[in-house]
Amino acid sequence: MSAKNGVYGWAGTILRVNLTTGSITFEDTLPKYKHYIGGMGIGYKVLWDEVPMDTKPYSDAAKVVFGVGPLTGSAVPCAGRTNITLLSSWSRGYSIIDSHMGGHFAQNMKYAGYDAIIIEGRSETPVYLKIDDDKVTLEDASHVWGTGTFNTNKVIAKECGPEFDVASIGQAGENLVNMSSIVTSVGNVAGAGTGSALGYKKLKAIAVRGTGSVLIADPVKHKELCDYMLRELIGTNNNHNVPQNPQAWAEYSAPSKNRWKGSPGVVWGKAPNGPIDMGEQPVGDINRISYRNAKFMYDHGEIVSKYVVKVGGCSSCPIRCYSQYDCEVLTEQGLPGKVSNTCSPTGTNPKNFYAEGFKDFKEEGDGSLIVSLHGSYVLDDLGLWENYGCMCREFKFCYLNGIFEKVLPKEEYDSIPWQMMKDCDPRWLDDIWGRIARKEGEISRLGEGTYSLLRAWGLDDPAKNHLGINFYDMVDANYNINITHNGHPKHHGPEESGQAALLFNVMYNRDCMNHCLTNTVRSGSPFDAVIKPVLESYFGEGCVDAPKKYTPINEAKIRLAKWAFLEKQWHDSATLCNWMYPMTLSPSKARGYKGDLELDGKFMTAITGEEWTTEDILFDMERVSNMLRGMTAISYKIHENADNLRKTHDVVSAWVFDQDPDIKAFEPGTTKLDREDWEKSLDMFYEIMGWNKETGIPTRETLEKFGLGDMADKLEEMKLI
Amino acid sequence: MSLMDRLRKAAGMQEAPKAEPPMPETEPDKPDLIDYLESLPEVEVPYTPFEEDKEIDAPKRSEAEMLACEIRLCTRGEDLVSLTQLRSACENADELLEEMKDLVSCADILFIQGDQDVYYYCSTYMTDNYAKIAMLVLEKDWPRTIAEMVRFNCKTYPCSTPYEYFMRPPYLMTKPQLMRALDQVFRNEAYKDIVSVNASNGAPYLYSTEYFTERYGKALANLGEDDSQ
Amino acid sequence: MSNGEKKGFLTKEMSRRQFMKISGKSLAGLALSTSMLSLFNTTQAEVDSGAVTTFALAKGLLVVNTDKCTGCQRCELNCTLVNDGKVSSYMSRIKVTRNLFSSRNGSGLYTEDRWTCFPDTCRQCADPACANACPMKAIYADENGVKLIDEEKCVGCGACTQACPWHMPTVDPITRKSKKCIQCGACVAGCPSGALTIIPWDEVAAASQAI
Repeated sequence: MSAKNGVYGWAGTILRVNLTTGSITFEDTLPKYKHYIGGMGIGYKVLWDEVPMDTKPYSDAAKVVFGVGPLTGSAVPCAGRTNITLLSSWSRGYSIIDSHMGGHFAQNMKYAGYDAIIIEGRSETPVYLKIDDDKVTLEDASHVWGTGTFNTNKVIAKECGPEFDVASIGQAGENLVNMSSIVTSVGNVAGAGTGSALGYKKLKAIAVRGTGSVLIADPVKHKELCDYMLRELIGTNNNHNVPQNPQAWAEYSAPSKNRWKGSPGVVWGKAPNGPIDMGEQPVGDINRISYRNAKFMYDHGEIVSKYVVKVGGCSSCPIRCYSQYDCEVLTEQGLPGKVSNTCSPTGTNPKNFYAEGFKDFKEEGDGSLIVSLHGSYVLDDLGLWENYGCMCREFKFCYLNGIFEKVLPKEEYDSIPWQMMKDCDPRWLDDIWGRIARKEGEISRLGEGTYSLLRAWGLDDPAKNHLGINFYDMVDANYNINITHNGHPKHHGPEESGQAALLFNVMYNRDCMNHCLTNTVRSGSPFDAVIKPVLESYFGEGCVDAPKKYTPINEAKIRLAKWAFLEKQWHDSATLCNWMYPMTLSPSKARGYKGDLELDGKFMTAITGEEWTTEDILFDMERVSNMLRGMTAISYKIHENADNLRKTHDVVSAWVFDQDPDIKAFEPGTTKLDREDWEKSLDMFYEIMGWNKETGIPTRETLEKFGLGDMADKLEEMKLI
Repeated sequence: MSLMDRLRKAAGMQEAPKAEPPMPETEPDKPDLIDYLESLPEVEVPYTPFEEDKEIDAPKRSEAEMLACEIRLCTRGEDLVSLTQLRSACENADELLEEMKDLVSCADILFIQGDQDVYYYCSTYMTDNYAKIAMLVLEKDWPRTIAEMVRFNCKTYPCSTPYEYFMRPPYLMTKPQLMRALDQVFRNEAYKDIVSVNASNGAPYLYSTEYFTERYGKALANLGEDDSQ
Repeated sequence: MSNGEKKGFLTKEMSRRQFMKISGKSLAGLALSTSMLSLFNTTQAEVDSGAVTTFALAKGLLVVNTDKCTGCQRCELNCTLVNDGKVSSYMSRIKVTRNLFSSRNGSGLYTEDRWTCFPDTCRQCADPACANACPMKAIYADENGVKLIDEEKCVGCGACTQACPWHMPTVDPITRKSKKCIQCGACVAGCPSGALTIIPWDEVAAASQAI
């Protein structure tokens, strides 16, 4: 436990579990990992030191690293995320990726005394890992193997005891389906293939209870900072800083969509004792913050509020971005009615699997809602991951364009109950996703992930399909989500923040999960009066463009892009929720709506007792960013025989430049970008990152600046620098 | 009857609308909390008795300050208070409002001039922008409300305004009200800059040609419908 | 009421004395006046169902509304940060985590009754089992009458935890000192959904007199 180690902030210990030998060992977190901070940073250092990049993702030598950081469980608001680092089994290059989950697991893991859990080897029989402070054991999991995550979490929580939290994999993970996840709480999910990574290792679940604590160097200052953030800085989901519906205290509101949807007249309609009105939530009133976010309204509209019992979310976070439903339309059909989720798993994903639209259940327009609520349950129970909206779009495209008729054996095609889909039967999702999670038939290739799927069905080459398309490149707003040719989508990209967002969207080996810019530009605040002056005060004139009025690249945009890129690594190392941080804006008129980017450094100083500035933090995160880049270069050499990331990994899908054919880039009314401008953007970004402009690979000088000389040696040995 | 009650009564207002479930039939024998507590046998209180335990009294304020307090209470409930309401609730309203102007303790009480009345509010709880919206809602001149807010939204954010915006709180127009008002907007020369455009998914939006070209108005309508998660 | 007689509690002391009688119990089965409902920011339906529980604290009435608890655990984090200078959920003097996952009463995220979670804390019993059980006589009342633990005397034996019917006192596994609620109010001040509120006794008295 942290207090035992006398360490401020960090738990101080890393737990290493070898499933082959059953050995359970403990090692000090500091000093080796201090300047990797935690979470993602520790994960990268462990993989770099211990897992050669040619390791197969499904092999005994592969490792999975669960990590939290010095801010996790420290009472810092929105610090309840677990980062999981692993090798990708599905994106081009099979390189390093992270996955992240909320819920309460991170805080429990920290209080049990661990900054990271390194999972190694492979068990012969299904097991789960039971962590009760420093009593760590491997327990038999054969009784839950083969069952879904809801049953598994329930059974294991019950057998371990009331204060134990659990995270588990479903059938998808067990069956080594690449598109698989780990599920904790209700609907808190780490995707990106974490399920199958553990499934290979026969690790069904981790149960954890912690009676320890996080030591705070300056508790008085720290409490002040937490309260300051809550009174003056925090907004709501995606840190949007103005309410959508006008509220009396608020100068601005968001006429079109934003995420601060709680307001007088918006209710938790299924609260056990009658509707609870979300009321006004004035800035400064800590006791009303949880009523700002009505994510159910964002995800489903007014029609859903009658099924909302409460809102939920992660440890320490006042912004409850999960909606907890009790839907009798589902229970009347014998389906689970108490479901909860947020974002894509409960919206885009299930809806697109009804390729011909919806039918009403009880009232006009409730079809997509009902199947979505059920869908989020099925997806999580199977432990299936939807690649942030890619899997469902691939399904819909293939269905509507006759691909399935061509690629599926006739017998299989005929065995699929398409009528259930047409009838808008919620159980259609149990059927179709069940096939994918069981790897049943050719259609289950949807579970291999975009990169493998498109190659298998010839959709990445116009010569290989009857439509003459490259799915990555074709212009079609219904499907344009793949930002590169690497098998992962954008995650708030150039459609919101131009070149800056495109730059960090292409840096990772999965969707970037980076909300630093969308949180500001889509906040609903006025552009000229708030967004522009606040962002320019941090990054310089011209760093941000008005909505759909883009301008060519400039130095300020490059600074903004680099900052957002490094910030993301910080959030997943700290660990902080990237949907909430950084505190760029504020809902406070008295502050001129300006947030506080130094807050992170202040938190680190108060917690650890050492002087940290945000600049210090970002320096360490630049180290992690260079590791991501270096390891990606090595993977691309191994798997793609590529010497150059610029011409392979960083190539952007054509639709980004070819959409809106009637308008030129940089004219008002479009988010399309310009190819020449993009090449210039890459030049400038590589330069500010200290990477070779031809190849996009970090130079030796840059790597050595961050103490990564060994990585430079490896890159040189492979003739990459 | 308190001034607050008189104000509410004068305004023909109900209790502030709260989402209350339909009251379940109260069991006739359900005891009142206070009666029940008093009926229970005394228990030992672990705490030291309060040193001063005076009967609870309300603080003393001047009549003008009392009126300011009532305006503040209304504002906290998101309501403006009209001069008409004030006059009908208290005979010397004009005198008290005049007095209020010179009181530092009432410096937070502001007013906004509407077409039909003057409306008072407390600036601690209500911003000027909201007061304008609240005034438009009270006066129920829906065509003017639509035109003014569409222009304001184009100029300020900038954004195209979804039809649906006017059906949300605090406007809460019904669909027929909205369609009738729009019909009047489109036929009124004074509002000829207000035009309708559909986003690609068919959702109807409004923008002002004083601020946007058609292409930009449509582009921002599409942005409003982008529900990226 | 109609005869003009002043109903309710005239003073802070009277209010506290009356609510002490049901401290830690839900208000189910009782009818509340409109002004009491408004003061507690609740509805009669919530009261009827047992979602509303009150605790008579020294300075005011703690109102706990289960329907509004969203399980964020900030009450626990603030409790320990303020009182221990370190942050923990196990040691918190207000307990929500034990009701969050798979609680002893069958509710929590990993049960069929998923959405029920609630904070629970010390009842400040007039005849405290914890203090009676303490072999070191380490539990005493401060000048307000709030029960505190004398850390000099506490040996961390856990007798208080066992004796308390709700197992509220908690021994810090590191310092081996027992912790219990001292009514500092940090949990309430930091509750982001208003599931916890403390109403000063003078406001309780005033509302008790209104109709």
